[in-house]
Amino acid sequence: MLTPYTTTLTDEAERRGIRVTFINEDPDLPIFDLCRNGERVRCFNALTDRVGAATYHLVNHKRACHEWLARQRIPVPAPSRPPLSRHKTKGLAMKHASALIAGALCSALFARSEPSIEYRYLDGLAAPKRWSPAECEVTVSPHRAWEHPVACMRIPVDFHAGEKAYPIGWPRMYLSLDADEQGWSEYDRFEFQLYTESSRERLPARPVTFHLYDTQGQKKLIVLEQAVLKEWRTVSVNLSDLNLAGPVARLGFNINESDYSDKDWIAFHVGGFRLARATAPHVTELRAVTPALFCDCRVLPIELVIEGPAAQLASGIPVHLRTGSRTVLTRTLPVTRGRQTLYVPLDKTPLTPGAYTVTVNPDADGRGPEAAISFTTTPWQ
Amino acid sequence: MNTPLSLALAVTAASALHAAPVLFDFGTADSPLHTGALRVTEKGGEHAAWESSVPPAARAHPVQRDWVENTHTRRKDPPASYQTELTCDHIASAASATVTLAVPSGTYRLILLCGRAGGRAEQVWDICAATEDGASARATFAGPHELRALTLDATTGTRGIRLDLTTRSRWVLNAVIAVPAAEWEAAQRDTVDPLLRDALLLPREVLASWKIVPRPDTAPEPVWSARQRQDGVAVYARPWCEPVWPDHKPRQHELDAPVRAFASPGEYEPLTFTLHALRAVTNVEVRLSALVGTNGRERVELPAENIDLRAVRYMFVRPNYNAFNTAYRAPDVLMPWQPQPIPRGENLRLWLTVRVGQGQPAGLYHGRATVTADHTVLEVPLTLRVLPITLLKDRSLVYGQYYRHPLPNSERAPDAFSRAWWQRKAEAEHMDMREHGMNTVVLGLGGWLKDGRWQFMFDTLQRNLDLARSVGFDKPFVCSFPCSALYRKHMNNADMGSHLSQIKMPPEAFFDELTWMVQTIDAEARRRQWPELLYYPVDEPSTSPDSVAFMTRVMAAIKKVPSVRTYITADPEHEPFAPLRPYVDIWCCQPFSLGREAVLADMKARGVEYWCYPNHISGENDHTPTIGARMTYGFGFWQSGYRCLIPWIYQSMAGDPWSYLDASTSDFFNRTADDGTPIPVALWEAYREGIDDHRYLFTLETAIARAEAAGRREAASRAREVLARILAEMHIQPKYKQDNLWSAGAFDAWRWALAEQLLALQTEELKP
Repeated sequence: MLTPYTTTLTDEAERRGIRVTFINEDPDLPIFDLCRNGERVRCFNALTDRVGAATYHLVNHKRACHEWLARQRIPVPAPSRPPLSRHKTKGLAMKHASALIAGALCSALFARSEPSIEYRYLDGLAAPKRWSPAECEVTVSPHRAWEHPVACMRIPVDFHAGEKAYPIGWPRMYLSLDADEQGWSEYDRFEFQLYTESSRERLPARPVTFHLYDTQGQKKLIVLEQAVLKEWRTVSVNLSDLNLAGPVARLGFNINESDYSDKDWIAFHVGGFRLARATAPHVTELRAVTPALFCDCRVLPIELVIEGPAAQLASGIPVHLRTGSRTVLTRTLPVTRGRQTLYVPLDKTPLTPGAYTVTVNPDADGRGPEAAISFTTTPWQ
Repeated sequence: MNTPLSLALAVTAASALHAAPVLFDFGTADSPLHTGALRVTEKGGEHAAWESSVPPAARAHPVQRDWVENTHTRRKDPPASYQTELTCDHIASAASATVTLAVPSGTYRLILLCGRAGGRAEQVWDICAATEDGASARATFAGPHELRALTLDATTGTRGIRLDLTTRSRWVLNAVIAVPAAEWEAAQRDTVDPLLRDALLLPREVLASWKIVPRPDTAPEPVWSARQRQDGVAVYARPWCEPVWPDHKPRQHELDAPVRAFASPGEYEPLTFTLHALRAVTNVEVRLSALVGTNGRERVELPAENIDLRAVRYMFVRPNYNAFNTAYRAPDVLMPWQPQPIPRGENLRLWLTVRVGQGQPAGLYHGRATVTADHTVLEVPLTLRVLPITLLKDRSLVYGQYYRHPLPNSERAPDAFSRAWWQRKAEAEHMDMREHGMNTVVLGLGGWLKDGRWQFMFDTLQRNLDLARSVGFDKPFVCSFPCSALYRKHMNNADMGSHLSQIKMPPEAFFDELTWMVQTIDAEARRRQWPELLYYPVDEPSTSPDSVAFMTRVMAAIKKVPSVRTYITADPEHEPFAPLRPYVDIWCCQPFSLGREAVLADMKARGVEYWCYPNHISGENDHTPTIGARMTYGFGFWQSGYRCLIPWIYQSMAGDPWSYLDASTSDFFNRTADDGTPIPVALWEAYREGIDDHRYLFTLETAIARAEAAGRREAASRAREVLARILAEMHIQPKYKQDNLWSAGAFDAWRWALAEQLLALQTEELKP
């Protein structure tokens, strides 16, 4: 049976959509990989390959760990009670540490160093009067998001009321942007915060959908799966993913009543609407869209999202391919702002089959966003 | 009827009066006449004469543009197909006939418009038009809406142009456009193409309300080589499951990329390459060589006859099957190859499908495609590796199709040719489904009330089952039955409405009779030794309380019959469907909406099954998600835990099957050739390739189990690592369509990684 040292991490990972793959079947030796979008970290219990040996010993020492957690302002049991057995105290501290490390780890696995970001807040979008609701009501929320106003969309789910033809319908609200709220092309992302309340104990898999429409009525629908009851979640939409022909002109939210039960109520607090842009070129996402490739392929496709002023991207971005610590290939490729697929030219001589890492925009130490690639042999030799 | 003398006079007069081209509009004496056209009735006319043992008949239909209320869906529908003044009227006959058209002397290119005749859906039209100098053109098609344009060249005789019209069922002729050969280029641009667009796509005044939105090309123009500039054509290759858009440029690395594939015996495997026209090409011809290799001792061949050659046809498509007023050109149908031009800046994608027969020796095979583009000859090398692997298939899985069965049309057909055509269509499509990996098809049992007694079409279902079983379909058959007719009986002829939108709870007697109906069908099924039928009373019920209450009682009524299983197209994740759970044996939902663990646990606990109808990759709302289709049928299905993929539908046709913009819904998926055989679309090929990906996975899992049982743990462990790596690299989703997918190239690399492990395990097995 797996211990809390492991399940604290694996449960949190699965909740966040990070895949857990046990590579060792023995429950007494729980070694597993956390994987998402081609990235992987190997773990043993709550330890990972990214936790150094010294940190391991810190956590493994009861008093040292207790004192360290307290210094981090993490709630730990008061020391006034008769000391627990070493095992139990360690267990409690480990559990707290594990929970934190689990959360931090799952974020840290995929974190990127943050450049300077400029924000343009669109507080007018949180004004209830701007929204046209149907089968719901919109009011001013008592909450603030990033210190900015929030609107509350409250929906009483009713399978018998609403539109006659569609009693189980789509409570929704729409807003048309004013002229001075348009002009999103200079920005990288549209963001807002979402806080959800409900009479339910759990949200359905598709709690609410966010809409963006262009001036021609083309739309992009985004299911806000990240919504969680009684927690703030940031919704961040990469503007290059919208694939709309024209500028964004209208926003909307809706639920499908069929995803809920009759007589549920649900309230979505949405606010802190803002546009964001990086002030310097910055790779925010890297994905090996071809995680396996023949060794004699001409190019290695990778998918990037780049934020930052387009004018500063002209010099291109360096891409390294390495196996182990050896860099086998370096290229500088032209890039644009937004999501794009780069085709990294490979040498004419086939690569040696095996595991490789592609790193984009590495720093002086060769660190940067990276993704794993497997080069296979070729069937045609 | 005109005399030869009068026609000769008409020809003389025509020389003086008519500017080329000459339009002949066939129809009744008072049907709409296209502006500037010459009227030809069943009796002929001033400018035409008939010769026939049986006089032909003329008919006209109104030129309708209004949308009409559909009482079932409660929406307004456009016309099923759009008539123009040229196409709304026609002359037709079951007997051969000759028409002589008075035109000035000379050589002409003729465009014949044939079709849109209305009438019975079961009628198969068959037209062969031949000229005095031996040129001929032929078309065969079914139903009231299809329209075809036949092209042939003719030289006038003393009285004009003689066209012999023959048929194996009925011929139909709406119009002839006669263009002097010397004026073809200008006439094609100024007269012919606009008329054909009106007739075959949409009339211009209707098309004006549509916006054509081309898919943007973000790729930079590649650097063309001197040779490519000189040739005016560039050859390039990209993985088959990545679309080539009609006017997009190739990527630099794709130019002259190798055209190669690998396959195991018994597989079909695509090989594709594309010609990009740097200048207009008037004619492209392609010849294929055999693929030749060596098995180490002797020369072995995979004959050219084993390679099916097609070209990708671009169709105007809608962004969703019931959307209007927006369209774009998309790669879609894989047409049988015929020489054709390429407009400047456009692509012609050649699609080769190699059939690797059982027993084909393993090895590396080479061949070539010789492309002649006007005066340029290009050799495109082809490479195929045949692997020494016997691929297995997971026989417990179900691969089905929703299907509009042709056999009832055969039974209702008005003539022998039509009857045989529908029969051949049914047989060819079943074989096609089998060759693409299917093992069942959705059927229906018809029935009606006569004098208070139910009449069931058991013999029709028998024939459908016999055909299915004759091609090896060995899985249960989803089967609809007359539930809606039963509802009308008890509810004063009321309609249940689309998705049960108009449902009201019927009396208890309805449910009792429903149980009786299923008992009766089940008893007959046992008498006839039919395979299992899965009872499918209603499609896609809504989640409204009335709908759920009705469906719960319907399913409960069916379940009163021992040992029968119920099937529903509904998403069990939708909470309103909870009351149905005790009565549903097979949940069929569009996405893989429940995760693997939940599906496996529920199937084990309650004995239910989870199936999927993945319409997001069936073409109904996008004709191009070929990568998503391959993922759905292959790695996605493997990971999901679901037991069946059964999308809607093998072939969807509304209005003219070659215009996707007419009618209330778009056509999509496979088309039909003149001989009734199927014409595939790229998505259909993606299904098969996904199934083949699954076969590699299953074959490897089986080999791993065998190796572990024999104690070859190290080799088995290495193979397991490959499976684990594939799983780790998958972005698991309910729907695999466009986002967060591997690129096209990754699929073949993964398949090769699986094949490598299979070969390694095979080698281990042979070791003493």
